[in-house]
Amino acid sequence: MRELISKFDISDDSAASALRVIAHFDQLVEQRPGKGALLRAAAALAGCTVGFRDPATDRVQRFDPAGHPCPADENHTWHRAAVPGSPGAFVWLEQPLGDGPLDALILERCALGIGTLTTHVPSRSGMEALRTVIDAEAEDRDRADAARRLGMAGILTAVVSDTELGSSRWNLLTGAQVISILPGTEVNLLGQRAGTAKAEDPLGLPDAVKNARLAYRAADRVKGAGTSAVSYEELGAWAEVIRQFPPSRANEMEEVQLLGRLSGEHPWLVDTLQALVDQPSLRRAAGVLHVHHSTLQERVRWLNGQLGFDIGLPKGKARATLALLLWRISHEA
Amino acid sequence: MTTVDPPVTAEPPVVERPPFDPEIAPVLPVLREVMPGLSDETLSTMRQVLDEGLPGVPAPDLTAGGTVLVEERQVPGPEGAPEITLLILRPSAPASIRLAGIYTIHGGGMVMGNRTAAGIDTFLPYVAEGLAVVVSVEYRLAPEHPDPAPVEDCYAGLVWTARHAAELGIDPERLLIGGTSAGGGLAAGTALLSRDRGYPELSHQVLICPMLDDRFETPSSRMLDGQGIWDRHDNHFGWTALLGDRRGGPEVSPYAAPARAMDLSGLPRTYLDCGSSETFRDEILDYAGRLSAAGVSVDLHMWGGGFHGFDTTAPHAALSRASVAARDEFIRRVIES
Repeated sequence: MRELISKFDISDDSAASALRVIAHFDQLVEQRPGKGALLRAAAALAGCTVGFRDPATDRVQRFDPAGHPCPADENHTWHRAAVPGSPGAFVWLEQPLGDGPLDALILERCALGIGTLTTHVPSRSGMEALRTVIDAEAEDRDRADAARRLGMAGILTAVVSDTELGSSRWNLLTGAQVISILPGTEVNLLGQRAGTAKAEDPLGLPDAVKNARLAYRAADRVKGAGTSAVSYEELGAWAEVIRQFPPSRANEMEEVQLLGRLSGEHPWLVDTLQALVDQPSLRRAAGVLHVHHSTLQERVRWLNGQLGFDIGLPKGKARATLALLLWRISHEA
Repeated sequence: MTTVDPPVTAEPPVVERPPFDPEIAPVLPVLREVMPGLSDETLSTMRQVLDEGLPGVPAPDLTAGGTVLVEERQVPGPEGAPEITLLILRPSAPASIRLAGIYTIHGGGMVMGNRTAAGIDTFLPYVAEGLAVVVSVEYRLAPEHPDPAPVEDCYAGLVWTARHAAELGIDPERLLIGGTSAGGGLAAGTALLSRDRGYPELSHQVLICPMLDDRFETPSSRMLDGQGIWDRHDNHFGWTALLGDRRGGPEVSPYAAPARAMDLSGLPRTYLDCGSSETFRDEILDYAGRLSAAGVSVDLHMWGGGFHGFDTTAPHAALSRASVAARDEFIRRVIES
C-alpha cells in the first residue's frame, strides 16, 4: 500500500502523494474501523513501526509495517504527536522524523483520526478530568486544573478493585479493574478485592494509582484466608518483590509450581497455608478456616512432608509467605 | 492486436452484497486509479502495469537476498505449440533431502501477468527458507491465445516439472499446484487434466480466490459493478477473451472453467479461499462444497468483507493478516512434513 499511495508518482509529485495520504485517513475515519486500523495504516504508509499510548486503558499498542502487533514497549525517544482531545494520548513513528517525506503528515493524520474516533464519551468532561488526574504522562498543570474541576484536594486514597465503589464519586473503569479515588485515608473496603495507596495531594495520584495496582496484585480473593484489601504502605519491602515478578516469572518458581500441583488435588491447600502464616496460633488458624483443630494438625503434618520444611517454624513461615505471594502473582494473568 | 470487443455484460445485476471490510475499503480508490476497468483500450496499459510493477516500485527480488537460485528453462510446450518458459526457484543452500515442489500459475484474468509477477510472492518465502522448490510457468495469454492454449501450456510445464523432479530436488510425493485468481482457475483446470490424463500425481492444490466459472449465474458474479476489484465487466472481458463466442454456452471444457466439471472425485487435497465481497465468491463456495461431496478433503476460508486479492493489495490490514496466516499455516503443514 505504501508503494500505491506514497510512492506511486514516478515524477515524485509529493503534492499528489500527500493528497492520497490525507484521503486515505479521511476514508478510514469515515469507515470507523477502530484505532488499530489507523495505526496499521500509518505503519504501512510510513514503512516503520508505529506506537500509540492510550491513557484511557493505560495501554501501549504497536504495529510493524506489515500490520503485525508488536510488544507494548513504551521506552522510546521518537517524536510524538498528541491526539487532539485526549490528554496523555500520543502516536509515534519509530524512525527519525523526516526519513520519509510524508512522515510528518502521516503522523499528524493518524493522531487526528484517532482523536476523531475517541472523542464521544458521554459525561466526557468528568471522565476526562479524572483520566488526566491519574495520568502519569499528563502535565502537572493540566492535572492540577483537572483536580480543581473535580473538587479534589488534600490527602487522597487511590483504590484499584474489581468493582465500582459506591462510596466514591470518582470511579474509572480501566481494563478489568476499576480505579477509584477517595478523599482522606479512611476507606471501607469490606467485601472487595482491592489494592490501595495514599497520595499527599492530587499531584501524587499517578504514583498512588501505580502503587495501588501493585498492592492489588498481592490481594487475596474476598472469601480467601488472606487479606483481600492490601495497602501499599503496609507492604514495605514486599512491594519491591512484587515489582520484580511479572506473572510469567513468578510462575517459573519451583515452589509456585509445587503449590499449583498440590492445590490441584487439595483445594484447601492455599487457604490453609495462608491461615497458617497469617495467624499467631494453630487454634486461631483453625478458627479462620472453620476446621477442627485436629484436622488442621493432620494437614500441617502432611504439608510439612510435601513442602520439605516445617511450617511451624518462623523460617518456614517466611518461606511459605513468599511462595504464597508469588503463587498469587502467577495467577493474575 | 486481437480484440475482445464488445464485452457485453448482458446478465442483470445483483444489488445485494456484503460491505467491504472498513479497514481495507479505503485502499480501493487508489487501486482503481492504478487499474481502471479492463477493455480493449486499457488492456495494453494494464499489462504494462502488471509486467513492470507499479511505477517507482522495484521488481521483487527473486533471489531473496541471495538465498534463492533463479533459473529459467525452455521446455516443450503442448504438442504442435511453441516451447514454454519455466522460472525455477531453488534454495541456494544445498538441501540434504528432497523438498516439496510448488508449481505456481500467475494471475491476471487470463489476459495479463507473467511468470515473475502476480502471485510469485506468495510462495517465494518458502524457497528462501529452504523448504520448497518453486516452478512458475509462462503460459500464453488470451485473447491472442484463447483456450485451450493457457491451460495446456500450464499442463505441459507441470509434466516437465514432474518428469524432472529428481533433477530439481523435488519430492514427487509432495507436488503442490497453486495459483491466484486466473492462476487459481488454471491450477484447478490443470489438476483436472492431470487427474484425467493419469499424470502427474498432485498432492495438493492451493487455489487462492480462483476464477472458475464463465457462466455468470451466481449472485456474486453479478454483484460488483464498478466496485471492488475485478467486477462483473472485468470478469466478462477475461472470460470472453479466453473463450470467445463459446463463453457461457455448452461448448466450454471443464479444464477452462473448472466449475463446469461434473466429477470432482480423485482431485488432490485442496485449500480454497476468497473474500465475501468478490465476484468469485459463490463459484468458490460451490466448488468447495462439491469437492467435499466428492470425497476430497478441503480447507475453505471465506473472509468477510474481503474484495478480490485484498490480502495482496492491503497486506497490513487485520483481515489480510488473518487470511495470509491461515494459508501460510496450511502450506507449512504440507511442505514441512
